[in-house]
Amino acid sequence: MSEGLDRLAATLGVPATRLAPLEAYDDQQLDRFDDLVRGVMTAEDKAFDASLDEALKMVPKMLRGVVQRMLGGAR
Amino acid sequence: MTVLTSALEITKLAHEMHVDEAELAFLATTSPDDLRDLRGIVSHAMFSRHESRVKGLAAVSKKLPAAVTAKITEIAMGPMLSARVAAVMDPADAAKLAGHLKPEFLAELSVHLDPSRVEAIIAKLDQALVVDVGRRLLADGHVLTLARFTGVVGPETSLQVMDGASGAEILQVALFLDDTSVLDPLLAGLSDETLTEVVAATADQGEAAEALLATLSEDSRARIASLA
Repeated sequence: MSEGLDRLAATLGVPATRLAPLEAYDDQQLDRFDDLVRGVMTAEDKAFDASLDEALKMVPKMLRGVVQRMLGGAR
Repeated sequence: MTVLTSALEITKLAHEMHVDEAELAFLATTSPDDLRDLRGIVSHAMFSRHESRVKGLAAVSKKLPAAVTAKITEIAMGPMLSARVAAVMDPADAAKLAGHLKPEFLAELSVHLDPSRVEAIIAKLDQALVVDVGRRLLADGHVLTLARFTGVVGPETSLQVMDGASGAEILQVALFLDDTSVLDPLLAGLSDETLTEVVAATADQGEAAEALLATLSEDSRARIASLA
Protein backbone atom coordinates (compact mmCIF):
# COMPACT_ATOMS: atom_id res chain seq x y z
CA MET A 1 0.00 0.00 0.00
CA SER A 2 1.28 3.47 -0.84
CA GLU A 3 1.56 6.36 1.60
CA GLY A 4 -1.11 8.22 -0.38
CA LEU A 5 -3.51 5.34 0.09
CA ASP A 6 -2.72 5.19 3.81
CA ARG A 7 -3.45 8.92 4.17
CA LEU A 8 -6.76 8.60 2.30
CA ALA A 9 -7.73 5.56 4.36
CA ALA A 10 -7.02 7.48 7.57
CA THR A 11 -9.19 10.38 6.38
CA LEU A 12 -12.04 8.02 5.53
CA GLY A 13 -11.60 5.99 8.72
CA VAL A 14 -11.14 2.64 7.01
CA PRO A 15 -8.26 0.14 6.75
CA ALA A 16 -6.17 0.83 3.63
CA THR A 17 -7.09 -2.65 2.36
CA ARG A 18 -10.67 -1.39 1.81
CA LEU A 19 -9.24 1.00 -0.77
CA ALA A 20 -7.22 -1.65 -2.62
CA PRO A 21 -8.92 -0.86 -5.98
CA LEU A 22 -7.29 2.59 -5.83
CA GLU A 23 -3.77 1.13 -5.63
CA ALA A 24 -3.32 1.76 -9.33
CA TYR A 25 -3.26 5.52 -8.77
CA ASP A 26 -0.12 7.41 -7.83
CA ASP A 27 0.32 9.36 -4.59
CA GLN A 28 -0.28 12.70 -6.32
CA GLN A 29 -3.71 11.57 -7.51
CA LEU A 30 -4.56 9.99 -4.18
CA ASP A 31 -3.46 13.08 -2.27
CA ARG A 32 -5.61 15.22 -4.56
CA PHE A 33 -8.58 12.98 -3.77
CA ASP A 34 -7.71 13.10 -0.07
CA ASP A 35 -7.66 16.93 -0.26
CA LEU A 36 -11.09 16.85 -1.88
CA VAL A 37 -12.51 14.60 0.82
CA ARG A 38 -11.00 16.77 3.57
CA GLY A 39 -12.36 19.89 1.89
CA VAL A 40 -15.84 18.39 1.74
CA MET A 41 -15.62 17.35 5.39
CA THR A 42 -14.51 20.82 6.47
CA ALA A 43 -17.28 22.50 4.46
CA GLU A 44 -19.81 20.10 5.92
CA ASP A 45 -18.52 20.70 9.47
CA LYS A 46 -18.98 24.45 9.01
CA ALA A 47 -22.46 24.04 7.53
CA PHE A 48 -23.35 21.61 10.31
CA ASP A 49 -22.17 23.94 13.09
CA ALA A 50 -23.93 26.94 11.53
CA SER A 51 -27.19 24.99 11.23
CA LEU A 52 -26.88 23.76 14.79
CA ASP A 53 -26.27 27.29 16.10
CA GLU A 54 -29.35 28.54 14.25
CA ALA A 55 -31.43 25.66 15.60
CA LEU A 56 -30.31 26.36 19.18
CA LYS A 57 -31.30 30.03 18.82
CA MET A 58 -34.87 28.89 18.24
CA VAL A 59 -34.97 26.78 21.40
CA PRO A 60 -36.44 28.77 24.34
CA LYS A 61 -33.60 30.16 26.52
CA MET A 62 -34.75 28.26 29.61
CA LEU A 63 -34.41 24.96 27.71
CA ARG A 64 -31.24 25.80 25.78
CA GLY A 65 -28.85 24.47 28.45
CA VAL A 66 -30.72 21.18 28.63
CA VAL A 67 -30.68 20.86 24.86
CA GLN A 68 -26.97 21.68 24.67
CA ARG A 69 -26.25 18.98 27.24
CA MET A 70 -28.31 16.52 25.19
CA LEU A 71 -26.12 17.40 22.23
CA GLY A 72 -23.01 16.62 24.23
CA GLY A 73 -22.14 20.26 24.86
CA ALA A 74 -23.05 21.22 21.28
CA ARG A 75 -19.55 22.10 20.07
CA MET B 1 -24.80 -7.18 -12.21
CA THR B 2 -24.24 -3.49 -12.52
CA VAL B 3 -25.21 -1.71 -15.68
CA LEU B 4 -23.59 1.55 -14.85
CA THR B 5 -20.46 2.65 -16.54
CA SER B 6 -17.73 4.13 -14.41
CA ALA B 7 -18.68 7.58 -15.69
CA LEU B 8 -22.17 7.27 -14.19
CA GLU B 9 -20.72 6.05 -10.90
CA ILE B 10 -18.34 9.01 -10.86
CA THR B 11 -21.36 11.30 -11.25
CA LYS B 12 -22.93 9.63 -8.21
CA LEU B 13 -19.74 9.93 -6.18
CA ALA B 14 -19.43 13.60 -7.14
CA HIS B 15 -23.03 14.12 -6.01
CA GLU B 16 -22.27 12.43 -2.68
CA MET B 17 -19.24 14.66 -2.18
CA HIS B 18 -20.86 17.83 -3.58
CA VAL B 19 -17.93 18.34 -5.93
CA ASP B 20 -17.68 18.80 -9.68
CA GLU B 21 -17.39 15.42 -11.40
CA ALA B 22 -14.43 16.73 -13.42
CA GLU B 23 -12.49 16.68 -10.12
CA LEU B 24 -12.99 12.90 -10.01
CA ALA B 25 -12.30 12.22 -13.69
CA PHE B 26 -9.02 10.49 -12.84
CA LEU B 27 -11.06 7.64 -11.32
CA ALA B 28 -12.45 6.69 -14.75
CA THR B 29 -10.36 3.53 -14.94
CA THR B 30 -11.85 2.19 -11.70
CA SER B 31 -14.61 -0.37 -12.18
CA PRO B 32 -18.22 0.67 -11.50
CA ASP B 33 -18.46 -1.83 -8.62
CA ASP B 34 -15.32 -0.48 -6.97
CA LEU B 35 -16.57 3.09 -7.42
CA ARG B 36 -19.84 2.11 -5.80
CA ASP B 37 -17.93 0.68 -2.82
CA LEU B 38 -15.89 3.89 -2.61
CA ARG B 39 -19.12 5.93 -2.59
CA GLY B 40 -20.37 3.82 0.31
CA ILE B 41 -17.13 4.40 2.23
CA VAL B 42 -17.25 8.17 1.62
CA SER B 43 -20.94 8.32 2.53
CA HIS B 44 -20.33 6.43 5.78
CA ALA B 45 -17.35 8.64 6.66
CA MET B 46 -19.47 11.79 6.18
CA PHE B 47 -22.42 10.41 8.09
CA SER B 48 -20.49 9.07 11.07
CA ARG B 49 -18.59 12.36 11.50
CA HIS B 50 -21.43 14.02 13.44
CA GLU B 51 -23.36 10.94 14.44
CA SER B 52 -23.46 11.55 18.21
CA ARG B 53 -24.69 15.15 17.86
CA VAL B 54 -27.19 14.12 15.19
CA LYS B 55 -28.55 11.45 17.54
CA GLY B 56 -28.76 14.14 20.23
CA LEU B 57 -30.82 16.32 17.93
CA ALA B 58 -33.11 13.41 17.17
CA ALA B 59 -33.57 12.90 20.93
CA VAL B 60 -34.35 16.62 21.39
CA SER B 61 -36.93 16.50 18.60
CA LYS B 62 -38.72 13.71 20.46
CA LYS B 63 -39.33 16.07 23.40
CA LEU B 64 -40.84 18.90 21.36
CA PRO B 65 -44.23 19.05 19.61
CA ALA B 66 -43.90 18.03 15.94
CA ALA B 67 -45.13 21.45 14.79
CA VAL B 68 -42.38 23.22 16.79
CA THR B 69 -39.72 20.80 15.56
CA ALA B 70 -40.93 21.36 12.00
CA LYS B 71 -40.53 25.12 12.39
CA ILE B 72 -36.98 24.73 13.76
CA THR B 73 -36.19 22.21 11.02
CA GLU B 74 -37.29 24.43 8.15
CA ILE B 75 -36.12 27.79 9.45
CA ALA B 76 -32.92 26.93 11.30
CA MET B 77 -31.56 23.49 10.55
CA GLY B 78 -31.81 23.50 6.80
CA PRO B 79 -31.96 20.50 4.47
CA MET B 80 -28.49 18.98 5.03
CA LEU B 81 -28.61 18.80 8.83
CA SER B 82 -32.29 17.80 8.71
CA ALA B 83 -31.47 14.93 6.38
CA ARG B 84 -28.82 13.67 8.79
CA VAL B 85 -31.22 13.86 11.73
CA ALA B 86 -34.01 12.15 9.81
CA ALA B 87 -31.72 9.19 9.16
CA VAL B 88 -31.44 8.43 12.89
CA MET B 89 -34.96 9.34 14.02
CA ASP B 90 -37.57 6.84 15.03
CA PRO B 91 -39.48 6.22 11.75
CA ALA B 92 -42.87 6.97 13.33
CA ASP B 93 -41.62 10.31 14.76
CA ALA B 94 -39.93 11.21 11.48
CA ALA B 95 -43.05 10.42 9.46
CA LYS B 96 -45.14 12.55 11.84
CA LEU B 97 -42.65 15.41 11.49
CA ALA B 98 -42.63 15.08 7.69
CA GLY B 99 -46.36 15.70 7.73
CA HIS B 100 -45.66 19.16 9.19
CA LEU B 101 -42.94 20.07 6.68
CA LYS B 102 -43.55 21.78 3.36
CA PRO B 103 -43.17 19.46 0.34
CA GLU B 104 -40.66 21.87 -1.22
CA PHE B 105 -38.48 21.60 1.89
CA LEU B 106 -38.81 17.80 1.86
CA ALA B 107 -37.64 17.81 -1.76
CA GLU B 108 -34.53 19.85 -0.83
CA LEU B 109 -33.91 17.54 2.12
CA SER B 110 -34.24 14.45 -0.09
CA VAL B 111 -31.23 15.51 -2.14
CA HIS B 112 -29.08 15.07 1.00
CA LEU B 113 -30.67 11.81 2.15
CA ASP B 114 -29.29 8.33 1.85
CA PRO B 115 -32.50 6.47 0.88
CA SER B 116 -31.29 3.21 2.38
CA ARG B 117 -31.20 4.88 5.81
CA VAL B 118 -34.78 6.16 5.63
CA GLU B 119 -36.64 3.27 4.03
CA ALA B 120 -38.76 2.70 7.16
CA ILE B 121 -39.73 6.39 7.27
CA ILE B 122 -40.78 6.47 3.62
CA ALA B 123 -42.93 3.39 4.18
CA LYS B 124 -44.91 5.37 6.77
CA LEU B 125 -45.39 8.52 4.69
CA ASP B 126 -48.58 9.44 2.93
CA GLN B 127 -48.31 8.19 -0.66
CA ALA B 128 -49.54 11.49 -2.07
CA LEU B 129 -46.76 13.34 -0.22
CA VAL B 130 -44.11 10.96 -1.59
CA VAL B 131 -45.41 11.49 -5.13
CA ASP B 132 -45.55 15.26 -4.63
CA VAL B 133 -41.93 15.36 -3.41
CA GLY B 134 -40.82 13.07 -6.25
CA ARG B 135 -42.44 15.28 -8.87
CA ARG B 136 -40.71 18.33 -7.40
CA LEU B 137 -37.38 16.52 -7.65
CA LEU B 138 -38.10 15.62 -11.26
CA ALA B 139 -39.13 19.19 -12.10
CA ASP B 140 -35.87 20.46 -10.55
CA GLY B 141 -33.80 17.97 -12.56
CA HIS B 142 -32.72 15.84 -9.60
CA VAL B 143 -32.81 12.60 -11.61
CA LEU B 144 -29.95 11.08 -9.64
CA THR B 145 -31.79 11.58 -6.35
CA LEU B 146 -34.98 10.19 -7.89
CA ALA B 147 -33.11 7.13 -9.11
CA ARG B 148 -31.73 6.49 -5.63
CA PHE B 149 -35.26 6.63 -4.20
CA THR B 150 -36.82 4.48 -6.93
CA GLY B 151 -35.53 1.28 -5.38
CA VAL B 152 -36.97 2.32 -2.00
CA VAL B 153 -40.42 3.62 -2.94
CA GLY B 154 -41.15 0.83 -5.43
CA PRO B 155 -42.25 0.86 -9.06
CA GLU B 156 -45.89 1.84 -8.46
CA THR B 157 -45.01 5.09 -6.70
CA SER B 158 -42.16 5.76 -9.13
CA LEU B 159 -44.55 5.43 -12.06
CA GLN B 160 -46.86 7.99 -10.46
CA VAL B 161 -43.91 10.34 -9.98
CA MET B 162 -42.82 9.93 -13.59
CA ASP B 163 -46.29 10.21 -15.07
CA GLY B 164 -45.87 12.86 -17.75
CA ALA B 165 -42.06 12.77 -17.72
CA SER B 166 -40.26 12.69 -21.05
CA GLY B 167 -38.57 9.55 -22.36
CA ALA B 168 -35.19 11.22 -21.84
CA GLU B 169 -35.98 12.02 -18.19
CA ILE B 170 -37.15 8.47 -17.51
CA LEU B 171 -34.01 7.09 -19.15
CA GLN B 172 -31.83 9.36 -16.99
CA VAL B 173 -33.50 8.02 -13.85
CA ALA B 174 -33.07 4.45 -15.12
CA LEU B 175 -29.37 4.98 -15.85
CA PHE B 176 -28.69 6.08 -12.29
CA LEU B 177 -30.60 3.23 -10.61
CA ASP B 178 -28.61 1.41 -7.94
CA ASP B 179 -30.96 -1.55 -8.10
CA THR B 180 -31.79 -2.42 -11.71
CA SER B 181 -34.26 -5.11 -10.63
CA VAL B 182 -36.93 -2.40 -10.48
CA LEU B 183 -36.43 -1.65 -14.16
CA ASP B 184 -38.70 -4.38 -15.57
CA PRO B 185 -41.75 -3.49 -13.43
CA LEU B 186 -41.12 0.18 -14.21
CA LEU B 187 -41.06 -0.37 -17.95
CA ALA B 188 -44.10 -2.66 -17.71
CA GLY B 189 -46.05 0.25 -16.27
CA LEU B 190 -45.16 2.66 -19.08
CA SER B 191 -47.43 3.20 -22.06
CA ASP B 192 -46.17 2.04 -25.48
CA GLU B 193 -45.81 5.68 -26.49
CA THR B 194 -43.64 6.57 -23.47
CA LEU B 195 -41.56 3.40 -23.77
CA THR B 196 -40.91 4.24 -27.42
CA GLU B 197 -39.67 7.67 -26.29
CA VAL B 198 -37.40 6.06 -23.69
CA VAL B 199 -35.90 3.67 -26.24
CA ALA B 200 -35.40 6.54 -28.71
CA ALA B 201 -33.54 8.46 -26.01
CA THR B 202 -31.06 5.58 -25.54
CA ALA B 203 -29.46 6.54 -28.85
CA ASP B 204 -27.81 9.50 -27.10
CA GLN B 205 -26.48 7.45 -24.16
CA GLY B 206 -24.23 4.92 -25.90
CA GLU B 207 -22.65 2.15 -23.90
CA ALA B 208 -24.46 2.90 -20.63
CA ALA B 209 -27.90 2.61 -22.27
CA GLU B 210 -26.88 -0.58 -24.08
CA ALA B 211 -25.75 -2.09 -20.78
CA LEU B 212 -29.00 -1.00 -19.18
CA LEU B 213 -31.14 -2.60 -21.90
CA ALA B 214 -29.12 -5.79 -21.57
CA THR B 215 -30.31 -6.21 -17.96
CA LEU B 216 -33.98 -6.31 -19.00
CA SER B 217 -36.02 -9.49 -18.93
CA GLU B 218 -36.88 -11.29 -22.15
CA ASP B 219 -40.46 -10.03 -21.90
CA SER B 220 -39.33 -6.40 -21.67
CA ARG B 221 -36.92 -6.83 -24.57
CA ALA B 222 -39.59 -8.52 -26.67
CA ARG B 223 -41.99 -5.64 -25.97
CA ILE B 224 -39.35 -3.10 -26.97
CA ALA B 225 -38.62 -5.06 -30.16
CA SER B 226 -42.32 -5.10 -31.01
CA LEU B 227 -42.44 -1.32 -30.78
CA ALA B 228 -39.55 -0.80 -33.19
